[in-house]
Amino acid sequence: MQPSPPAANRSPLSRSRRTIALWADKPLWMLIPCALALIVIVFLPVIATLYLSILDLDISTLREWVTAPIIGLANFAAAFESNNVLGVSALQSLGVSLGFSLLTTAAVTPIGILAAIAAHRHFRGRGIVRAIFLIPYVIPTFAVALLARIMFLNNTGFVPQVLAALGLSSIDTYWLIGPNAFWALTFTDIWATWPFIYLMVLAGLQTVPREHFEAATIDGAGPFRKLFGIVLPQLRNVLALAVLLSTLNHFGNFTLAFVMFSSPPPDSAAVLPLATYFYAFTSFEYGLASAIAVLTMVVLIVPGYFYIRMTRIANRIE
Amino acid sequence: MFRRKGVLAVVTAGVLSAALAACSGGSTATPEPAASGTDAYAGRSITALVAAAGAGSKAQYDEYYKTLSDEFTKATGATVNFQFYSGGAQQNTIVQTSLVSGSGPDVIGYGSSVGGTLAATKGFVTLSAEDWKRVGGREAWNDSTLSASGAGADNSIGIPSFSVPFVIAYNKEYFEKAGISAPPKTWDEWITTAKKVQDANPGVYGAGFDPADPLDPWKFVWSYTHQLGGAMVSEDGKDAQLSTDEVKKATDFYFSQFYEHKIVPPESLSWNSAQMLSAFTSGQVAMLPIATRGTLSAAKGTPVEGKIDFAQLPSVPEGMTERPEGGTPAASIVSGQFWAVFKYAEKNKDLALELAKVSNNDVVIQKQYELLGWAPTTKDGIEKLSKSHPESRPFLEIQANMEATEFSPAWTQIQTGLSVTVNKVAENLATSGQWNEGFLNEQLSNADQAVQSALK
Repeated sequence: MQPSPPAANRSPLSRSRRTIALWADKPLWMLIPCALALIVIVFLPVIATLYLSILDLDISTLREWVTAPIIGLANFAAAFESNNVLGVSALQSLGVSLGFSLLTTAAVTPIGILAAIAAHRHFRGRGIVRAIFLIPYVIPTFAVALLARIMFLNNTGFVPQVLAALGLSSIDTYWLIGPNAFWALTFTDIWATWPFIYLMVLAGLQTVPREHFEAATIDGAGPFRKLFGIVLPQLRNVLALAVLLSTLNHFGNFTLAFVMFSSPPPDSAAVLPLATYFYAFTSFEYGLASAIAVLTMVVLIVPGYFYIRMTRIANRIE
Repeated sequence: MFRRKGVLAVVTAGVLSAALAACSGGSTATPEPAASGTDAYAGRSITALVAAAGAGSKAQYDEYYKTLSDEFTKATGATVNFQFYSGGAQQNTIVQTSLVSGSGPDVIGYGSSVGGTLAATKGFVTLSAEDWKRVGGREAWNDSTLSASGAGADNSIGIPSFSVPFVIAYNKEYFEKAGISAPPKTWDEWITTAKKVQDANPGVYGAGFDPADPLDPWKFVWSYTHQLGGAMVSEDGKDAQLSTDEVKKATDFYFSQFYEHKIVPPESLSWNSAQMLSAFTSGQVAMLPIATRGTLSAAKGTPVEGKIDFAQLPSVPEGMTERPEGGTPAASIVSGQFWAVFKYAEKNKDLALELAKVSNNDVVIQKQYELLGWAPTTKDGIEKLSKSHPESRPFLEIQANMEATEFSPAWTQIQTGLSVTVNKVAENLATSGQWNEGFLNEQLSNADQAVQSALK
């Protein structure tokens, strides 16, 4: 058997031939429809948004938007000011969105893991419990938001009444306006979305060999030792992906805040998607709305990068 | 390598340019010569974008649109298809998409306060003297109604269709129990009436309140501002006037119902109009400040069914016996529907004008009143309805005192600025528990700046 030549001696030509041979092996042409769809559905709108973000585009220039005056980065500068009609800057909205998405994810993750472990074990009525766990996730977001609007009403709502009965807050506390609106939004989202983590973890648990648990039981490991020594290490990749997707979903959640608070929203609940909508469809400042959309895109590139890395790792493992 | 990059750049630029150009609006259609006479338009059709049914009145809306469609076909031989929008957000989205793509509905039935915004898009046909003649002539309508058609006779885009004046709705039973014989005519009377009702009906609050609603609060503040002689923009339309004393006083009075007079439910700072209406129909509050005749439909099957009456919004500011100089009754905004033709659909303008004309004919105006309580807008229609339905007279009198909102391209910013101000002041009041005039002034000043920048 001839030893392969050192890498340094491999010519660029032979490498490109190998690449061509590799591509020829795979029916990559089948990707063309998908690629075309991606160009039309994703790339062109992104480029159009980038273009809109540098235009002085409002209700009077909308019809001729291709030829609207170019104003450079003025919309981006305006996005960071709060003396606009909403009274909230993009930076404030970014803070609200980040706080909201990170807090909800931090809360739903342990709830989802514990629920998945509980539902993974065999017991009488497991099917019913699993079905009940999914209820919040299958209720449409707008229905959840309407329900939350009734439940958080001060004086008469279920939540203020329970909190008052427990002595945690006054029954008169306003949850739908002012700073508490953020907490009403966060708690509602936690209630509605924890089953996502639960589903992901439950699916991951099916891949953990039963023998590992049996061996741990023989070795005298308790439930916590099994959780931290077997379950979590083996679910690390699945869990990381679930947490990442969950954060992205919370960050982009428009419907919940829109239906709960309408437009304009309270400052504390002015999440980025809602602020973008407000500028585009309520005050008709399309350039500013596009600038905020671009900033959102830039922020989401960071978790997007990690997501791509994770899916690559998963592919390599396969 | 460089050549390939260059070719790629050119191709990309070409594709983008083509895509952008295809998406750009501004198509120019040549209008066809106007046809005339019954069946002159046979075989043709138009699409009208109109408001979808309100809660609980779908059957009535369906019948109204069927009547309008039948009358249109009878008059022209053509057909009309209706496309519906549910609320302002969807209306805006459809209008924007249609204007940018240069295709969509031919004509829109828009709410009166949206006129300034639509005119600012320059995407709607400016009506000529000939166009007005085809729908019965401008003289067929009152000046106050026409002031919501456009900025002057030469720049009008909207033809009035029907009117829905805003009124106060009150619970007659509560009034009788409190020994009140007539609805309030001044804002001082509004306060004293509310307090009397509260004293005579324990557990009931005098008035409804919905500062979290995106529409009702600005209408209230707008009316009160005009009664004080103020306006949201200067007469020449160049200067924003949201931080004037009149607007401050109006907003202050609106909130004084909560923090000073305590005539509204203490939990109502986060209410929207649906919650306020629900409080009225359940008997929790005695008066609704921004109501329509549609309140009767909402009250069906509730404890207040058969106990509701209507009156004009009080028109003399608090602490006064008559309005100050320059003040107007401003009992209601000119509220209702107007027809406007999309510029890209100018080839169907003749049919759109026929639709506008038919919407004001005798059959349609009788039907719309019987089904939905909508009043006619033409002088002739008002007179005929007054004779055929004498119970409509109080509403028609209120209609005579309606006043158009400022026809400004920045109207959306004005409306939003007032809504945001009211929302934030309500938040401040809820959080601190006390009235902060400085905070109100600061918020109005911010809103004023935003409007001024939109008026640039």
